[in-house]
Amino acid sequence: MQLKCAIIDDDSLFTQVLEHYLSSVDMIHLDGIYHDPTEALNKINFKEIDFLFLDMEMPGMSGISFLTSLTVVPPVVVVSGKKTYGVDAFEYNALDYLHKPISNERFLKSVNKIKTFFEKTKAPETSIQQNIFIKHEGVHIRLAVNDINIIRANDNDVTLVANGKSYKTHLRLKDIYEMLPQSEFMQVHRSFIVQLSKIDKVDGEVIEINNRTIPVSRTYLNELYERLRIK
Amino acid sequence: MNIKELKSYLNCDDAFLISLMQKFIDEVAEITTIIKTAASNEDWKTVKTQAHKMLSSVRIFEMQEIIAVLEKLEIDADAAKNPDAIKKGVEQLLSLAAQTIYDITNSLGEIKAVK
Repeated sequence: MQLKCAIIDDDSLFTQVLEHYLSSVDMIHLDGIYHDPTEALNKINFKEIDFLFLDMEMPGMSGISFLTSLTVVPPVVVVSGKKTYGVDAFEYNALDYLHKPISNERFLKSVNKIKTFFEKTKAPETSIQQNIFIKHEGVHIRLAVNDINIIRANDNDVTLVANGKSYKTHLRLKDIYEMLPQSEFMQVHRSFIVQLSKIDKVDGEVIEINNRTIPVSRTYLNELYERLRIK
Repeated sequence: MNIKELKSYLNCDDAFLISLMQKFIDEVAEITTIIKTAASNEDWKTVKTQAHKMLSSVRIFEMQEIIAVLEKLEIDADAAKNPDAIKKGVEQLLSLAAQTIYDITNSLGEIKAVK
């Protein structure tokens, strides 16, 4: 298992220590260090990052403000010089809470927690459900689950949108939903299923994926907001 | 500061510790200059954010005296209610920071000499 992470912390001495610690962990690849949270918001591709090390107190934007500005919140290891942020860490389902300064021994315990979390959530889906087969124009074709953005039910068939292409199949919406990892996909309307990590915008009862607008039924609205951690 | 304990705490070699200490010296010098200017302009917000930033660094090196001064300074500057207390805190900080830079520079010299 390979994980990608980013560090967001204005404290350059601490990030140097964390970078040093991470260099000895083969399983985790450090994708970037950001001392400015606004820069991190603009530059990080959150669809490709597995988790973040996030400082709670940064000038200009707190760690909490940072998280609330994200559409899809990745798992976070909360980092702070103050013990009072433990409650916030709990609220955001943080993978771990690290109180600065952090010894290498404490860091390695955190790595174990991260590893355990991703072994439970990530590994089974990526190893077993990387692809699905659908019958399109008479032929069974393989689609990578990660490429599927939207699934739409039409009158007589279902359209899957993957990598900008549309594939029609005679499977029912319900059947396709059962083939997909439920943790990644959600039905948002009687005619639509979407991959949550592909959502670019949420505006009331409408979501946007790759410039396509999709309605959200009121039935699914609360669940959608909860799963996207929108407050 | 015990170099051996610090290396064990960070699980690092001399080269990493030297780079960290050098960065620390530069950072302390830079932050104290900013705090000094901010205090003279009664810009308590900057005093608070810089004190917070410096706290993280000094905690790595377990410098208890300067940690206590910075913790109080951060609280006082955040409250922004007692300029005299803040200015006194800044004076204490400047004095301790100079001593800190001196101590770390000496430790740095010791490591390099052994190396």
